[in-house]
Amino acid sequence: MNRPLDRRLGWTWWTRNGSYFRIFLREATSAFILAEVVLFMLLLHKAGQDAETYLAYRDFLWHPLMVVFHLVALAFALWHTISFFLIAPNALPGQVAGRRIPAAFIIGQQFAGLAAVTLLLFLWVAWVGAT
Amino acid sequence: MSDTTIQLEVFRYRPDNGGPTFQSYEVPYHDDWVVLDALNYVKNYIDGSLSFRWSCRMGVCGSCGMQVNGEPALTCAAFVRDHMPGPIRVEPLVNFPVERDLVVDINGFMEKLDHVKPYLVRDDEADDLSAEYLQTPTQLDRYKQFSMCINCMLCYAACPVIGRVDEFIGPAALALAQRYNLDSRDQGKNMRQDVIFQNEGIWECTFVGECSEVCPKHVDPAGAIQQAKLEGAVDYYKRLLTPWARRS
Amino acid sequence: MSGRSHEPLFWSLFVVGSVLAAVIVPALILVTSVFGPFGWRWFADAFTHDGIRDLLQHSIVRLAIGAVIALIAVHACHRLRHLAIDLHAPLPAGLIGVLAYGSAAAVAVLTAIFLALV
Ligand code: SF4
Ligand code: FES
Repeated sequence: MNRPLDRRLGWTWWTRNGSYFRIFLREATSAFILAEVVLFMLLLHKAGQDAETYLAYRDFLWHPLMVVFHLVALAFALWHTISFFLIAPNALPGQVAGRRIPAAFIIGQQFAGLAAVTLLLFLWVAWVGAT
Repeated sequence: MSDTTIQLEVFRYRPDNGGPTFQSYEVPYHDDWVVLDALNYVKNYIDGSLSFRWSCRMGVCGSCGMQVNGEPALTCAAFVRDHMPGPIRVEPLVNFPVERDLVVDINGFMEKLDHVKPYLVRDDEADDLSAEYLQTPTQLDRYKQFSMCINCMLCYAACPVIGRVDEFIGPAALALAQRYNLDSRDQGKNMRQDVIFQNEGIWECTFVGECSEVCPKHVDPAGAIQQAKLEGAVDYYKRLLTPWARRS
Repeated sequence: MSGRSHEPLFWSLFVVGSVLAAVIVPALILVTSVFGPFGWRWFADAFTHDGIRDLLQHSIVRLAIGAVIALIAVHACHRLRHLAIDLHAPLPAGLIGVLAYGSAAAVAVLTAIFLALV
């Protein structure tokens, strides 16, 4: 009799090796990014209320334990950034107007963009804080 | 003959003899042996009942794919020396139904290949069978990478989405669809896109990317699928914004 | 089979959100929640009650923040949806979708309201 055996990868596929696990971490960055977005949304909410309420929330956000969380979230956010930039050349069409764009160029451009946006944001906030 | 030996732990399954088991074989070690050589040694000198597929033993036919120490690999390209001191665990490709020992059922895969019409489609074919369709090196370069596939199915064994959705067309077939869609001589793009722009086409894929990691021919099916997604999204909005446009 | 998918709608928003998340979220975390508590004067002063109101003073700034937050929320929720599916979450796929994009929509709408009230 013909009785084929079922050997499909189950839900634990991401534990099979290191590269699966890195992909799992990449997908998990979304949980930390969502958490930071919600915390920021609440900061905007408190900004619309009186100074005391706002500062109480800000001090919670800046509590040492929360800062530890922010640093972990930052590590995950950077993993999203790096993994996204590194796979972008594969996800884009190989040719633009009949020419191959070198992957290193695409990756470099993205990191340049990241640096520019980050610097602008820093300067803007520091400027408002200093004046 | 060398004195060194290496242990092979081979997956055995015979539907009539109960569940699967692992069977150990001691085979001689040779510097230049690949796992397939070791399996053939078992078959020829130790246990003739072991079943597995192979043909070219040079990475061209794509029939010798198995899990070698848990990773999908062409056994004719996986050197025994890279797995010293052993043991080497040899299993059939995961995600496929196992027929017997190391032999898997490839019918589902063959059907998926069929779905994407992996051949040049011409509207005008009936008119002139002797017509030539010229192509520039630049046009060839657009799809060449995606045409290197040998249908070894390693990418299907590496894909967690295949393990979850039986109908998912999967890496090799989607890369092949892209290979023909990007071919300047082809006119079947719209028909293929009807298939690959379904959920069970490209949209089940979450860019795990392991298919491209294991591919022995550097086809990069994961890249092909993401490029198709970009085209799919553009096409989706085109259809949304111009519902009156007629499409064959 | 099932006909052409509507996934491109969500996927395209996801990709735009991915780009924004990649270039903005690290800086956002540093600026709002790390530099201040580490005692960097300018950044601490930017997040006093007056400071944040100054930051949000221009309506163009508020508009940009609202759009960016909405798209990053879609990015994160879309990815969480697919992570849940890839981990074989024992829920109907439709329900996971409603939960995911519902959350993203809630974040987008609430952010818009909060920004309007500053
Ligand atoms: S795409 Fe690569 S791994 Fe997949 S079947 Fe083709 S050659 Fe094998
Ligand atoms: S035997 Fe042909 S590819 Fe390995």
